[in-house]
Amino acid sequence: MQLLAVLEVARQSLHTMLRSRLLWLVVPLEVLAVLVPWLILENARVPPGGREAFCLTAFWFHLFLLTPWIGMFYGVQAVHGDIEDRSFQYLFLRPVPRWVLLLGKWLSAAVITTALAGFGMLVLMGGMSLMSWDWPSGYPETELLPMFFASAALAGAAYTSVAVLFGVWFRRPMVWSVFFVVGFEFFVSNLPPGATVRSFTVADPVRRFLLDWLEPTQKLARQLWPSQRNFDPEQLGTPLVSLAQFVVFNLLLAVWIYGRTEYDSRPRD
Amino acid sequence: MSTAAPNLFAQGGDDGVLRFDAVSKSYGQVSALMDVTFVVRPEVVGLVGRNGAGKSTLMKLACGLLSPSQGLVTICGEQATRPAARRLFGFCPDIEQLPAHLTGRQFVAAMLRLHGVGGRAAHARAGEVLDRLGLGPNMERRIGTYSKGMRQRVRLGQALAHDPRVVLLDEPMNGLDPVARHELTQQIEDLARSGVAVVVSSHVLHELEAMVDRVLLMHQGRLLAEGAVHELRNQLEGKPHRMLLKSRSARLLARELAGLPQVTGLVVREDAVEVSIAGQAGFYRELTGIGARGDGIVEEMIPVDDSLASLFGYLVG
Repeated sequence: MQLLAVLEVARQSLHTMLRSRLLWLVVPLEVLAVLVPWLILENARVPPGGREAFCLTAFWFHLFLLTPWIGMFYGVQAVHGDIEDRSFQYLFLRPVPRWVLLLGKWLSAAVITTALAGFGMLVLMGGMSLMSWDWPSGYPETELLPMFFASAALAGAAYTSVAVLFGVWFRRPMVWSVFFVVGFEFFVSNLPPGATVRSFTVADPVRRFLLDWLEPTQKLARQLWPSQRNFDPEQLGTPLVSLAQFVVFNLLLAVWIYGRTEYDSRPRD
Repeated sequence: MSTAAPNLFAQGGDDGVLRFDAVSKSYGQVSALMDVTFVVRPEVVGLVGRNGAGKSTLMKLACGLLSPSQGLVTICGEQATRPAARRLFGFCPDIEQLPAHLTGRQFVAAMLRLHGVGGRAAHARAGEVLDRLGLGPNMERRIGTYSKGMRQRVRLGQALAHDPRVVLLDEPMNGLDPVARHELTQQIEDLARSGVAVVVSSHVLHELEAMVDRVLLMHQGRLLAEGAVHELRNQLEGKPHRMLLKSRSARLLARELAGLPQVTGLVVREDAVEVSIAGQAGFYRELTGIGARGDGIVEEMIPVDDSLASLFGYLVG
Protein backbone atom coordinates (compact mmCIF):
# COMPACT_ATOMS: atom_id res chain seq x y z
CA MET A 1 0.00 0.00 0.00
CA GLN A 2 2.75 2.43 1.02
CA LEU A 3 4.80 1.32 -2.00
CA LEU A 4 1.91 2.37 -4.25
CA ALA A 5 1.82 5.71 -2.47
CA VAL A 6 5.59 6.14 -3.02
CA LEU A 7 5.09 5.44 -6.72
CA GLU A 8 2.16 7.86 -6.92
CA VAL A 9 4.19 10.63 -5.27
CA ALA A 10 7.08 9.84 -7.64
CA ARG A 11 4.73 10.02 -10.63
CA GLN A 12 3.35 13.39 -9.57
CA SER A 13 6.79 14.73 -8.76
CA LEU A 14 8.18 13.53 -12.08
CA HIS A 15 5.31 15.20 -13.89
CA THR A 16 6.27 18.49 -12.25
CA MET A 17 10.00 18.07 -12.90
CA LEU A 18 9.46 17.38 -16.57
CA ARG A 19 8.18 20.97 -16.81
CA SER A 20 11.54 22.28 -15.64
CA ARG A 21 13.38 24.60 -18.00
CA LEU A 22 16.62 22.79 -17.16
CA LEU A 23 15.64 20.18 -19.74
CA TRP A 24 15.90 22.83 -22.45
CA LEU A 25 19.51 23.36 -21.44
CA VAL A 26 20.59 19.80 -20.71
CA VAL A 27 19.16 18.02 -23.74
CA PRO A 28 20.83 20.30 -26.35
CA LEU A 29 24.04 20.16 -24.31
CA GLU A 30 23.99 16.38 -24.44
CA VAL A 31 23.44 16.45 -28.19
CA LEU A 32 26.36 18.87 -28.56
CA ALA A 33 28.49 16.55 -26.42
CA VAL A 34 28.78 14.30 -29.48
CA LEU A 35 31.40 16.80 -30.62
CA VAL A 36 33.57 16.26 -27.51
CA PRO A 37 35.23 13.02 -28.79
CA TRP A 38 35.90 14.79 -32.08
CA LEU A 39 37.66 17.60 -30.17
CA ILE A 40 39.70 15.00 -28.25
CA LEU A 41 40.70 13.43 -31.54
CA GLU A 42 41.67 16.77 -33.06
CA ASN A 43 43.86 17.76 -30.10
CA ALA A 44 45.43 14.43 -29.19
CA ARG A 45 49.08 13.69 -30.00
CA VAL A 46 48.19 10.02 -30.15
CA PRO A 47 44.64 9.73 -31.58
CA PRO A 48 42.44 7.63 -29.28
CA GLY A 49 40.31 4.75 -30.46
CA GLY A 50 36.52 4.79 -30.38
CA ARG A 51 36.31 2.84 -27.11
CA GLU A 52 38.72 5.19 -25.35
CA ALA A 53 37.04 8.33 -26.69
CA PHE A 54 33.58 7.10 -25.68
CA CYS A 55 34.73 6.12 -22.18
CA LEU A 56 36.50 9.45 -21.64
CA THR A 57 33.54 11.52 -22.82
CA ALA A 58 30.87 9.44 -21.11
CA PHE A 59 32.80 9.44 -17.85
CA TRP A 60 34.19 12.96 -17.63
CA PHE A 61 31.41 14.86 -19.38
CA HIS A 62 28.29 12.88 -18.48
CA LEU A 63 29.10 11.10 -15.21
CA PHE A 64 31.53 13.56 -13.69
CA LEU A 65 30.27 16.91 -14.94
CA LEU A 66 26.58 16.76 -15.87
CA THR A 67 25.12 14.06 -13.62
CA PRO A 68 26.12 15.64 -10.28
CA TRP A 69 24.53 18.95 -11.20
CA ILE A 70 21.41 17.46 -12.73
CA GLY A 71 21.02 15.18 -9.71
CA MET A 72 21.60 17.94 -7.19
CA PHE A 73 19.25 20.31 -9.01
CA TYR A 74 16.37 17.86 -9.35
CA GLY A 75 16.86 16.40 -5.87
CA VAL A 76 16.79 19.83 -4.28
CA GLN A 77 13.93 20.93 -6.50
CA ALA A 78 11.85 17.87 -5.62
CA VAL A 79 11.81 18.52 -1.88
CA HIS A 80 12.83 22.13 -1.42
CA GLY A 81 10.75 23.70 -4.19
CA ASP A 82 7.47 23.23 -2.39
CA ILE A 83 8.98 24.02 1.02
CA GLU A 84 10.15 27.33 -0.42
CA ASP A 85 6.77 28.30 -1.90
CA ARG A 86 4.85 26.64 0.94
CA SER A 87 2.78 24.44 -1.37
CA PHE A 88 4.06 21.43 0.59
CA GLN A 89 0.98 21.99 2.75
CA TYR A 90 -1.19 20.33 0.11
CA LEU A 91 0.90 17.15 0.36
CA PHE A 92 1.28 17.16 4.13
CA LEU A 93 -2.51 17.25 4.46
CA ARG A 94 -2.88 13.83 2.84
CA PRO A 95 -3.09 10.60 4.85
CA VAL A 96 0.38 9.64 3.70
CA PRO A 97 3.41 9.51 6.04
CA ARG A 98 6.13 12.00 5.26
CA TRP A 99 8.68 9.27 4.61
CA VAL A 100 6.50 8.13 1.72
CA LEU A 101 6.47 11.66 0.31
CA LEU A 102 10.23 11.95 0.63
CA LEU A 103 11.02 8.58 -0.93
CA GLY A 104 8.64 9.30 -3.80
CA LYS A 105 10.31 12.63 -4.48
CA TRP A 106 13.79 11.14 -4.26
CA LEU A 107 12.80 8.33 -6.59
CA SER A 108 11.50 10.77 -9.19
CA ALA A 109 14.68 12.86 -9.01
CA ALA A 110 16.86 9.75 -9.31
CA VAL A 111 14.85 8.50 -12.29
CA ILE A 112 15.02 11.77 -14.23
CA THR A 113 18.75 12.17 -13.47
CA THR A 114 19.50 8.64 -14.63
CA ALA A 115 17.30 9.02 -17.70
CA LEU A 116 19.02 12.25 -18.73
CA ALA A 117 22.49 10.77 -18.23
CA GLY A 118 21.48 7.62 -20.10
CA PHE A 119 20.01 9.66 -22.93
CA GLY A 120 23.25 11.62 -23.24
CA MET A 121 25.33 8.45 -23.42
CA LEU A 122 22.98 6.92 -25.96
CA VAL A 123 23.22 10.03 -28.15
CA LEU A 124 27.00 9.95 -27.76
CA MET A 125 27.23 6.32 -28.86
CA GLY A 126 24.83 7.02 -31.74
CA GLY A 127 26.80 10.07 -32.83
CA MET A 128 30.12 8.25 -32.63
CA SER A 129 28.81 5.33 -34.64
CA LEU A 130 28.13 7.78 -37.47
CA MET A 131 31.73 9.06 -37.40
CA SER A 132 34.79 7.22 -38.61
CA TRP A 133 36.16 6.01 -35.27
CA ASP A 134 38.62 3.22 -34.95
CA TRP A 135 36.91 0.65 -32.70
CA PRO A 136 39.09 -2.30 -31.54
CA SER A 137 36.35 -4.76 -32.44
CA GLY A 138 35.70 -3.08 -35.79
CA TYR A 139 32.21 -1.80 -34.85
CA PRO A 140 30.79 0.56 -32.19
CA GLU A 141 30.98 -1.22 -28.84
CA THR A 142 27.39 -0.87 -27.64
CA GLU A 143 28.17 -3.28 -24.78
CA LEU A 144 29.78 -0.27 -23.07
CA LEU A 145 26.35 1.30 -22.69
CA PRO A 146 24.96 -1.00 -19.93
CA MET A 147 28.03 -0.33 -17.72
CA PHE A 148 27.72 3.39 -18.16
CA PHE A 149 23.92 3.28 -17.69
CA ALA A 150 24.40 1.34 -14.45
CA SER A 151 27.03 3.84 -13.29
CA ALA A 152 24.66 6.71 -14.16
CA ALA A 153 21.86 5.05 -12.21
CA LEU A 154 24.12 4.68 -9.16
CA ALA A 155 25.38 8.24 -9.47
CA GLY A 156 21.82 9.52 -9.98
CA ALA A 157 20.51 7.69 -6.90
CA ALA A 158 23.46 8.84 -4.76
CA TYR A 159 23.61 12.50 -5.81
CA THR A 160 19.85 12.90 -5.45
CA SER A 161 19.99 11.32 -1.98
CA VAL A 162 22.48 14.04 -0.96
CA ALA A 163 20.30 16.65 -2.62
CA VAL A 164 17.09 15.63 -0.84
CA LEU A 165 18.97 15.62 2.45
CA PHE A 166 20.22 19.16 1.80
CA GLY A 167 16.76 20.13 0.52
CA VAL A 168 14.95 19.14 3.70
CA TRP A 169 17.70 20.38 6.01
CA PHE A 170 19.10 23.66 4.76
CA ARG A 171 17.56 26.92 3.68
CA ARG A 172 20.09 27.28 0.85
CA PRO A 173 20.49 23.71 -0.34
CA MET A 174 22.07 24.59 -3.70
CA VAL A 175 24.90 26.41 -1.92
CA TRP A 176 25.58 23.25 0.08
CA SER A 177 25.35 21.25 -3.13
CA VAL A 178 28.07 23.38 -4.68
CA PHE A 179 30.17 22.84 -1.57
CA PHE A 180 29.62 19.08 -1.77
CA VAL A 181 30.33 18.63 -5.48
CA VAL A 182 33.04 21.20 -6.03
CA GLY A 183 34.62 21.40 -2.59
CA PHE A 184 34.25 18.12 -0.76
CA GLU A 185 34.38 15.69 -3.69
CA PHE A 186 37.30 17.51 -5.28
CA PHE A 187 39.22 17.56 -2.00
CA VAL A 188 38.58 13.87 -1.35
CA SER A 189 39.53 12.87 -4.89
CA ASN A 190 43.10 13.94 -4.10
CA LEU A 191 43.39 11.73 -1.02
CA PRO A 192 45.05 8.27 -1.16
CA PRO A 193 42.80 5.57 -2.64
CA GLY A 194 42.56 3.79 0.70
CA ALA A 195 41.19 6.83 2.55
CA THR A 196 37.94 5.95 4.33
CA VAL A 197 36.45 9.36 3.63
CA ARG A 198 36.30 8.45 -0.06
CA SER A 199 33.28 6.27 0.66
CA PHE A 200 31.41 9.40 1.78
CA THR A 201 31.47 10.72 -1.76
CA VAL A 202 29.63 9.69 -4.91
CA ALA A 203 32.23 10.21 -7.63
CA ASP A 204 34.82 7.91 -6.10
CA PRO A 205 32.69 4.76 -5.57
CA VAL A 206 31.01 5.28 -8.97
CA ARG A 207 34.43 5.48 -10.63
CA ARG A 208 35.56 2.31 -8.85
CA PHE A 209 32.34 0.52 -9.85
CA LEU A 210 32.84 1.50 -13.48
CA LEU A 211 36.51 0.54 -13.56
CA ASP A 212 35.72 -2.81 -11.98
CA TRP A 213 33.23 -3.57 -14.76
CA LEU A 214 35.17 -1.91 -17.57
CA GLU A 215 38.48 -3.75 -16.98
CA PRO A 216 40.40 -0.89 -18.61
CA THR A 217 43.90 -0.81 -20.02
CA GLN A 218 46.49 0.93 -17.81
CA LYS A 219 46.30 3.96 -20.10
CA LEU A 220 42.52 4.26 -19.95
CA ALA A 221 42.55 3.63 -16.20
CA ARG A 222 45.04 6.49 -15.74
CA GLN A 223 42.82 8.75 -17.84
CA LEU A 224 39.73 7.88 -15.81
CA TRP A 225 41.49 7.93 -12.42
CA PRO A 226 44.36 10.43 -12.72
CA SER A 227 45.31 10.32 -9.02
CA GLN A 228 46.14 6.62 -9.39
CA ARG A 229 49.36 6.29 -11.35
CA ASN A 230 49.43 2.50 -11.25
CA PHE A 231 45.94 1.09 -11.54
CA ASP A 232 45.48 -2.01 -9.42
CA PRO A 233 42.05 -3.71 -9.46
CA GLU A 234 42.69 -4.82 -5.87
CA GLN A 235 42.31 -1.19 -4.80
CA LEU A 236 38.73 -0.95 -6.06
CA GLY A 237 37.23 -2.31 -2.84
CA THR A 238 33.44 -2.70 -2.59
CA PRO A 239 32.00 0.41 -4.26
CA LEU A 240 28.42 -0.90 -4.37
CA VAL A 241 28.39 -1.41 -0.63
CA SER A 242 29.85 2.08 -0.10
CA LEU A 243 27.20 3.63 -2.34
CA ALA A 244 24.36 1.65 -0.78
CA GLN A 245 25.45 2.71 2.73
CA PHE A 246 25.82 6.30 1.59
CA VAL A 247 22.36 6.43 0.01
CA VAL A 248 20.64 4.69 2.92
CA PHE A 249 22.35 6.97 5.45
CA ASN A 250 21.34 10.10 3.54
CA LEU A 251 17.76 8.97 3.08
CA LEU A 252 17.33 7.90 6.69
CA LEU A 253 18.65 11.23 7.92
CA ALA A 254 16.48 13.09 5.40
CA VAL A 255 13.37 11.12 6.44
CA TRP A 256 14.10 11.86 10.09
CA ILE A 257 14.48 15.59 9.43
CA TYR A 258 11.52 15.78 7.04
CA GLY A 259 9.29 13.96 9.51
CA ARG A 260 10.16 16.22 12.43
CA THR A 261 10.52 19.66 10.93
CA GLU A 262 7.62 22.09 11.08
CA TYR A 263 8.35 23.96 7.88
CA ASP A 264 5.37 26.18 8.53
CA SER A 265 6.98 27.61 11.60
CA ARG A 266 10.20 28.57 9.81
CA PRO A 267 10.39 32.30 9.28
CA ARG A 268 10.89 33.33 5.67
CA ASP A 269 14.16 35.08 4.97
CA MET B 1 -5.21 24.85 34.21
CA SER B 2 -7.05 25.83 31.08
CA THR B 3 -8.79 29.18 30.87
CA ALA B 4 -11.55 28.84 28.32
CA ALA B 5 -12.89 31.98 26.67
CA PRO B 6 -16.17 33.34 27.96
CA ASN B 7 -18.79 31.38 26.06
CA LEU B 8 -21.59 33.80 25.29
CA PHE B 9 -23.83 31.06 23.95
CA ALA B 10 -22.80 27.88 25.72
CA GLN B 11 -23.95 24.68 24.03
CA GLY B 12 -24.67 21.49 25.91
CA GLY B 13 -23.51 17.99 24.98
CA ASP B 14 -20.09 16.78 23.95
CA ASP B 15 -20.45 15.87 20.30
CA GLY B 16 -17.46 17.93 19.16
CA VAL B 17 -15.69 16.85 15.99
CA LEU B 18 -12.79 19.27 16.45
CA ARG B 19 -11.47 19.76 19.95
CA PHE B 20 -8.69 21.94 21.33
CA ASP B 21 -7.75 21.08 24.91
CA ALA B 22 -5.52 23.69 26.59
CA VAL B 23 -3.43 24.04 23.44
CA SER B 24 -0.36 26.28 23.38
CA LYS B 25 2.16 26.75 20.61
CA SER B 26 5.49 28.49 20.93
CA TYR B 27 8.31 29.14 18.50
CA GLY B 28 11.32 29.44 20.76
CA GLN B 29 10.59 32.38 23.04
CA VAL B 30 7.59 33.53 21.02
CA SER B 31 4.16 32.27 22.04
CA ALA B 32 1.88 32.09 19.04
CA LEU B 33 -1.03 30.45 20.83
CA MET B 34 -1.72 30.30 24.54
CA ASP B 35 -3.94 27.89 26.39
CA VAL B 36 -6.71 27.65 23.84
CA THR B 37 -9.71 25.43 24.55
CA PHE B 38 -12.80 25.08 22.39
CA VAL B 39 -14.98 22.52 20.66
CA VAL B 40 -16.46 22.64 17.17
CA ARG B 41 -19.58 20.64 16.41
CA PRO B 42 -21.23 20.20 12.98
CA GLU B 43 -21.76 23.93 12.44
CA VAL B 44 -20.06 26.91 10.82
CA VAL B 45 -17.62 28.61 13.17
CA GLY B 46 -15.89 31.85 12.35
CA LEU B 47 -12.36 32.41 13.59
CA VAL B 48 -11.82 36.15 13.77
CA GLY B 49 -8.84 38.20 14.78
CA ARG B 50 -6.36 40.74 13.49
CA ASN B 51 -3.43 39.72 11.36
CA GLY B 52 -0.99 37.97 13.68
CA ALA B 53 -3.67 37.04 16.22
CA GLY B 54 -2.87 33.35 15.87
CA LYS B 55 -5.64 32.29 13.49
CA SER B 56 -3.38 30.59 10.96
CA THR B 57 -1.38 28.88 13.72
CA LEU B 58 -4.62 27.58 15.17
CA MET B 59 -5.73 26.35 11.74
CA LYS B 60 -2.42 24.58 11.13
CA LEU B 61 -2.57 22.96 14.55
CA ALA B 62 -6.09 21.79 13.75
CA CYS B 63 -4.94 20.07 10.59
CA GLY B 64 -1.73 18.64 12.02
CA LEU B 65 0.70 20.79 10.04
CA LEU B 66 2.00 21.97 13.42
CA SER B 67 2.23 20.03 16.67
CA PRO B 68 1.09 21.71 19.88
CA SER B 69 3.80 22.61 22.39
CA GLN B 70 1.25 21.80 25.07
CA GLY B 71 -2.26 20.40 25.06
CA LEU B 72 -4.09 18.17 22.62
CA VAL B 73 -5.85 18.71 19.30
CA THR B 74 -8.24 15.96 18.20
CA ILE B 75 -10.51 15.44 15.23
CA CYS B 76 -13.29 12.93 15.85
CA GLY B 77 -11.18 11.59 18.73
CA GLU B 78 -8.10 11.12 16.53
CA GLN B 79 -4.95 13.11 17.30
CA ALA B 80 -4.65 15.74 14.57
CA THR B 81 -0.99 15.02 13.77
CA ARG B 82 -1.65 11.34 12.92
CA PRO B 83 -2.05 10.42 9.23
CA ALA B 84 -5.40 8.74 9.99
CA ALA B 85 -6.84 12.10 11.08
CA ARG B 86 -6.06 13.59 7.68
CA ARG B 87 -8.88 11.62 6.10
CA LEU B 88 -11.28 13.45 8.40
CA PHE B 89 -10.54 17.06 7.51
CA GLY B 90 -9.97 19.26 4.53
CA PHE B 91 -7.87 22.41 4.73
CA CYS B 92 -7.95 25.34 2.38
CA PRO B 93 -4.69 27.18 3.15
CA ASP B 94 -4.13 30.88 2.72
CA ILE B 95 -1.36 30.50 0.14
CA GLU B 96 -1.38 31.59 -3.48
CA GLN B 97 0.77 28.78 -4.85
CA LEU B 98 -0.79 26.07 -6.94
CA PRO B 99 0.92 24.06 -9.67
CA ALA B 100 0.45 26.32 -12.67
CA HIS B 101 1.13 23.56 -15.21
CA LEU B 102 -1.78 21.37 -14.08
CA THR B 103 -5.44 21.88 -14.82
CA GLY B 104 -7.72 22.44 -11.84
CA ARG B 105 -9.14 18.98 -12.32
CA GLN B 106 -5.72 17.31 -12.55
CA PHE B 107 -4.59 18.96 -9.33
CA VAL B 108 -7.64 17.94 -7.32
CA ALA B 109 -7.48 14.41 -8.80
CA ALA B 110 -3.77 14.18 -7.90
CA MET B 111 -4.54 15.08 -4.29
CA LEU B 112 -7.37 12.54 -4.23
CA ARG B 113 -5.03 9.82 -5.45
CA LEU B 114 -2.94 10.37 -2.34
CA HIS B 115 -6.08 9.51 -0.38
CA GLY B 116 -5.98 6.13 -2.09
CA VAL B 117 -8.64 6.89 -4.69
CA GLY B 118 -7.99 5.20 -8.06
CA GLY B 119 -7.09 7.20 -11.17
CA ARG B 120 -10.46 7.19 -12.95
CA ALA B 121 -12.50 7.57 -9.78
CA ALA B 122 -10.28 10.48 -8.71
CA HIS B 123 -10.69 12.15 -12.10
CA ALA B 124 -14.48 11.76 -11.98
CA ARG B 125 -14.75 12.92 -8.36
CA ALA B 126 -12.53 15.94 -9.00
CA GLY B 127 -14.75 16.94 -11.91
CA GLU B 128 -17.87 16.53 -9.81
CA VAL B 129 -16.53 18.65 -6.92
CA LEU B 130 -15.16 21.43 -9.13
CA ASP B 131 -18.38 21.50 -11.08
CA ARG B 132 -20.32 21.92 -7.85
CA LEU B 133 -17.97 24.74 -6.88
CA GLY B 134 -18.80 26.51 -10.12
CA LEU B 135 -15.54 26.03 -11.99
CA GLY B 136 -17.41 24.37 -14.85
CA PRO B 137 -15.50 23.93 -18.12
CA ASN B 138 -12.61 26.00 -16.74
CA MET B 139 -11.52 22.99 -14.72
CA GLU B 140 -9.83 21.67 -17.89
CA ARG B 141 -7.72 24.82 -18.26
CA ARG B 142 -4.29 25.17 -16.74
CA ILE B 143 -4.25 26.75 -13.27
CA GLY B 144 -1.68 29.26 -14.49
CA THR B 145 -4.44 30.92 -16.51
CA TYR B 146 -6.92 31.15 -13.61
CA SER B 147 -8.22 34.24 -11.86
CA LYS B 148 -7.96 34.54 -8.06
CA GLY B 149 -11.53 33.36 -7.67
CA MET B 150 -10.94 30.27 -9.79
CA ARG B 151 -7.80 29.43 -7.82
CA GLN B 152 -9.77 29.74 -4.62
CA ARG B 153 -12.28 27.26 -5.97
CA VAL B 154 -9.48 24.82 -6.76
CA ARG B 155 -8.09 25.20 -3.24
CA LEU B 156 -11.55 24.61 -1.89
CA GLY B 157 -11.96 21.64 -4.22
CA GLN B 158 -8.88 19.87 -2.89
CA ALA B 159 -10.18 20.42 0.65
CA LEU B 160 -13.62 18.98 -0.07
CA ALA B 161 -13.02 16.24 -2.62
CA HIS B 162 -12.40 13.45 -0.09
CA ASP B 163 -15.63 14.17 1.84
CA PRO B 164 -14.09 15.38 5.10
CA ARG B 165 -16.01 15.72 8.39
CA VAL B 166 -14.28 19.01 9.22
CA VAL B 167 -13.35 21.73 6.75
CA LEU B 168 -10.90 24.46 7.72
CA LEU B 169 -10.82 27.54 5.51
CA ASP B 170 -8.00 30.01 6.17
CA GLU B 171 -8.99 33.49 4.97
CA PRO B 172 -11.00 32.08 2.06
CA MET B 173 -12.47 35.48 1.13
CA ASN B 174 -9.08 37.06 0.42
CA GLY B 175 -8.99 38.50 -3.06
CA LEU B 176 -12.53 37.49 -3.96
CA ASP B 177 -14.94 39.93 -5.52
CA PRO B 178 -18.40 40.33 -3.93
CA VAL B 179 -20.04 37.89 -6.33
CA ALA B 180 -17.48 35.18 -5.59
CA ARG B 181 -17.83 35.91 -1.87
CA HIS B 182 -21.56 35.46 -2.10
CA GLU B 183 -21.12 32.15 -3.93
CA LEU B 184 -18.55 30.93 -1.40
CA THR B 185 -20.90 31.84 1.43
CA GLN B 186 -23.60 29.72 -0.16
CA GLN B 187 -21.20 26.81 -0.63
CA ILE B 188 -20.18 26.97 3.01
CA GLU B 189 -23.82 27.02 4.08
CA ASP B 190 -24.46 23.97 1.86
CA LEU B 191 -21.56 22.18 3.53
CA ALA B 192 -22.92 22.90 6.99
CA ARG B 193 -26.34 21.66 5.92
CA SER B 194 -24.74 18.38 4.87
CA GLY B 195 -23.42 17.85 8.41
CA VAL B 196 -19.84 19.05 7.92
CA ALA B 197 -18.19 21.16 10.60
CA VAL B 198 -16.70 24.26 9.01
CA VAL B 199 -14.18 26.64 10.55
CA VAL B 200 -13.62 29.83 8.57
CA SER B 201 -11.00 32.37 9.52
CA SER B 202 -11.02 36.03 8.64
CA HIS B 203 -9.65 39.30 9.96
CA VAL B 204 -12.92 41.01 9.06
CA LEU B 205 -15.94 40.05 11.11
CA HIS B 206 -18.41 41.30 8.49
CA GLU B 207 -17.15 38.80 5.96
CA LEU B 208 -18.32 36.00 8.17
CA GLU B 209 -21.53 37.32 9.60
CA ALA B 210 -23.67 36.01 6.76
CA MET B 211 -22.52 32.43 7.12
CA VAL B 212 -21.34 31.53 10.61
CA ASP B 213 -23.31 30.25 13.58
CA ARG B 214 -20.66 31.09 16.11
CA VAL B 215 -17.52 33.18 16.26
CA LEU B 216 -14.24 32.57 18.07
CA LEU B 217 -12.37 35.81 18.69
CA MET B 218 -8.60 35.56 18.71
CA HIS B 219 -6.30 38.24 20.05
CA GLN B 220 -2.54 37.98 20.65
CA GLY B 221 -2.60 34.20 20.62
CA ARG B 222 -5.48 33.87 23.03
CA LEU B 223 -9.08 32.95 22.51
CA LEU B 224 -10.70 36.13 23.71
CA ALA B 225 -14.35 35.24 23.41
CA GLU B 226 -16.78 33.04 21.59
CA GLY B 227 -20.41 33.55 20.84
CA ALA B 228 -23.14 34.02 18.26
CA VAL B 229 -22.25 36.41 15.52
CA HIS B 230 -25.27 38.67 15.98
CA GLU B 231 -24.32 39.21 19.60
CA LEU B 232 -20.85 40.35 18.65
CA ARG B 233 -22.17 42.35 15.74
CA ASN B 234 -24.50 44.20 18.06
CA GLN B 235 -21.48 45.16 20.09
CA LEU B 236 -19.88 46.54 16.96
CA GLU B 237 -23.00 48.34 15.78
CA GLY B 238 -22.65 52.05 15.94
CA LYS B 239 -18.88 51.97 16.15
CA PRO B 240 -17.63 53.82 13.08
CA HIS B 241 -15.05 52.14 10.86
CA ARG B 242 -13.48 52.57 7.43
CA MET B 243 -13.08 50.28 4.44
CA LEU B 244 -11.00 50.64 1.30
CA LEU B 245 -12.92 49.40 -1.73
CA LYS B 246 -10.72 48.73 -4.74
CA SER B 247 -12.52 49.50 -7.95
CA ARG B 248 -11.90 49.94 -11.67
CA SER B 249 -14.63 52.61 -11.65
CA ALA B 250 -13.88 54.45 -8.42
CA ARG B 251 -15.95 57.54 -9.31
CA LEU B 252 -18.99 55.50 -10.25
CA LEU B 253 -18.68 53.48 -7.05
CA ALA B 254 -18.38 56.65 -4.98
CA ARG B 255 -21.59 57.96 -6.59
CA GLU B 256 -23.40 54.73 -5.68
CA LEU B 257 -22.08 54.77 -2.11
CA ALA B 258 -22.94 58.41 -1.55
CA GLY B 259 -26.62 57.50 -1.57
CA LEU B 260 -26.34 54.99 1.28
CA PRO B 261 -27.49 56.25 4.71
CA GLN B 262 -24.72 54.34 6.58
CA VAL B 263 -21.95 56.15 4.71
CA THR B 264 -20.56 59.13 6.58
CA GLY B 265 -17.54 59.93 4.44
CA LEU B 266 -15.91 59.14 1.10
CA VAL B 267 -12.40 59.64 -0.24
CA VAL B 268 -12.10 58.88 -3.95
CA ARG B 269 -8.72 57.67 -5.20
CA GLU B 270 -7.61 56.60 -8.65
CA ASP B 271 -8.43 52.91 -8.22
CA ALA B 272 -10.22 52.82 -4.89
CA VAL B 273 -12.74 54.48 -2.63
CA GLU B 274 -12.19 54.86 1.09
CA VAL B 275 -15.54 54.82 2.80
CA SER B 276 -16.38 55.69 6.40
CA ILE B 277 -19.32 53.75 7.78
CA ALA B 278 -21.31 54.40 10.92
CA GLY B 279 -23.41 51.35 11.78
CA GLN B 280 -23.22 48.48 9.38
CA ALA B 281 -26.87 47.47 9.32
CA GLY B 282 -27.60 46.91 5.65
CA PHE B 283 -24.38 48.44 4.33
CA TYR B 284 -22.70 45.20 3.32
CA ARG B 285 -25.93 43.88 1.78
CA GLU B 286 -26.15 47.04 -0.34
CA LEU B 287 -22.48 46.74 -1.25
CA THR B 288 -22.96 43.13 -2.42
CA GLY B 289 -25.80 44.40 -4.63
CA ILE B 290 -23.55 47.06 -6.14
CA GLY B 291 -20.67 44.61 -6.63
CA ALA B 292 -22.92 42.03 -8.28
CA ARG B 293 -23.43 44.39 -11.21
CA GLY B 294 -19.96 43.35 -12.34
CA ASP B 295 -17.56 45.42 -14.48
CA GLY B 296 -15.09 45.41 -11.58
CA ILE B 297 -16.99 48.09 -9.72
CA VAL B 298 -15.93 46.44 -6.45
CA GLU B 299 -12.82 44.31 -6.82
CA GLU B 300 -11.65 43.99 -3.24
CA MET B 301 -12.54 45.12 0.27
CA ILE B 302 -9.77 46.02 2.67
CA PRO B 303 -10.48 47.18 6.22
CA VAL B 304 -8.59 50.41 6.91
CA ASP B 305 -8.98 50.66 10.67
CA ASP B 306 -9.84 47.18 11.73
CA SER B 307 -13.18 47.44 13.46
CA LEU B 308 -12.15 44.54 15.65
CA ALA B 309 -9.80 46.87 17.47
CA SER B 310 -12.74 48.66 19.04
CA LEU B 311 -14.44 45.38 19.80
CA PHE B 312 -11.34 44.04 21.47
CA GLY B 313 -11.10 47.17 23.51
CA TYR B 314 -14.72 46.77 24.46
CA LEU B 315 -14.37 43.08 25.37
CA VAL B 316 -11.16 43.49 27.26
CA GLY B 317 -12.60 46.45 29.08
